[in-house]
Amino acid sequence: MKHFDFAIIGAGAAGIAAATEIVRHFPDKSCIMIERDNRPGGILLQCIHSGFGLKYLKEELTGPEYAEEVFKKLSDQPCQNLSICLGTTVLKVLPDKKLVCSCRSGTETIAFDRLILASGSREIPFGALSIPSERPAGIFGAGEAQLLINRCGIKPGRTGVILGAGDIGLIMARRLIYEGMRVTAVVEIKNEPGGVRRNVQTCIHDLGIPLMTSSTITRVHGRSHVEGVSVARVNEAFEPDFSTEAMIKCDFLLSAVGLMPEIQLAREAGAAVKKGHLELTDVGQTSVDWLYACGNAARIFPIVDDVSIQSADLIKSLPGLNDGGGKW
Amino acid sequence: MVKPSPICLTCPVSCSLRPQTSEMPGQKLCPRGEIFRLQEEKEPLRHYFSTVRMADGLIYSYKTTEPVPLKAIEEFGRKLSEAVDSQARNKLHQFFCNRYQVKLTCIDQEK
Repeated sequence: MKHFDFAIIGAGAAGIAAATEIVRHFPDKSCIMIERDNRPGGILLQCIHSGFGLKYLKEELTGPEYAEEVFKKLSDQPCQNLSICLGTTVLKVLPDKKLVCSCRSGTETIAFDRLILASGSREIPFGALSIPSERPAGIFGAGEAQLLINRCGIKPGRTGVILGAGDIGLIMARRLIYEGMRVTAVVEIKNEPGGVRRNVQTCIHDLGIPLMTSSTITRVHGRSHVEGVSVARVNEAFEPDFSTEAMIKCDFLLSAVGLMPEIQLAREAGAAVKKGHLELTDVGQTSVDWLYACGNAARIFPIVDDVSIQSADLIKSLPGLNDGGGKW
Repeated sequence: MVKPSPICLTCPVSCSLRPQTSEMPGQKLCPRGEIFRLQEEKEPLRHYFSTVRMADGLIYSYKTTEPVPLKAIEEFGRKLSEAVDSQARNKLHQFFCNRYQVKLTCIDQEK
């Protein structure tokens, strides 16, 4: 069985930053970075819009460009003790410090001393919103639709409605228009969009997309596939006023209602969880003393630059470094 | 429907471009903000980004190296909506990449 001093789950922004600091500060230690995708970069590979890197790299880049730059920073370090496994999924973290992984050649068990969870986040599913429907086809998470469009070349439909006007919802509204689809409404429960002003301008006002604030979807229509949604105004307590309900026709719905850390592996390994988040010390250590979390697996970061900075700080604060200490 | 942006889009600060009066002292624009304001009044330009499958069979994300007219982006979106299938859409994207200078980044699996 192979043994490594460090194991990193995920080769997105957090994993790459953690690996960069490990090879820099622990050059004699062995490290393995495991990624389920066939290339490093994580969610950045599907975030083809710009707005990344202003803080960490001092230039504005698209997601794939940011991934390329940070991976180059890692590759520029002497990496003789670093192994990167692509196309490999971690199935389980065992309490005796072992990982069970699935890869092309079958399953493999890897032993480690310290585990860094850099598995990112997942979307809050539409099903969690308790909006009545007959579960028709055509309801997607915004990130799911982004993957389909950007990495698979598949359109989710012709005419869509987006629930949620945070940055992800706004960016997907623009993406749909740029790809020749129609967006009949972006529906936001709060009285103003949650995304930054620049995104509101370029994604909504530039393109003339109707933005319905203080509103929510009360029903999805259609049996086999989405045929429309009902939208109603909400009061200050976010309760829908059904007397204001109106039907909007569409053939797909994107749900952009937030992210939550992907922590299932840590949970199964026995790490303490509170309200869907790992309980962490100042330095990102979980209740399992050999298990750490960084990036969106620790908490949701609005910008990826902070993911890279926080992940690097985590490694710098690990015991064994003379210059330790990094709080976040 | 192309309207000038009321805010500067050059950087995340997003300064207001509205005229500064005694009632609305606002904020003084930086040199890049002034350039943006003048261009916005003349013809709004925006960066365009999308994905394209190139001749090597791999998918690349692409972004224009210089912003292009917003009207051209709207027109391109209309053409994409009329494309019959993904192959036709991809041809349009290849045409766009030839028409405007773009930067390509591979996002496909390494073969």
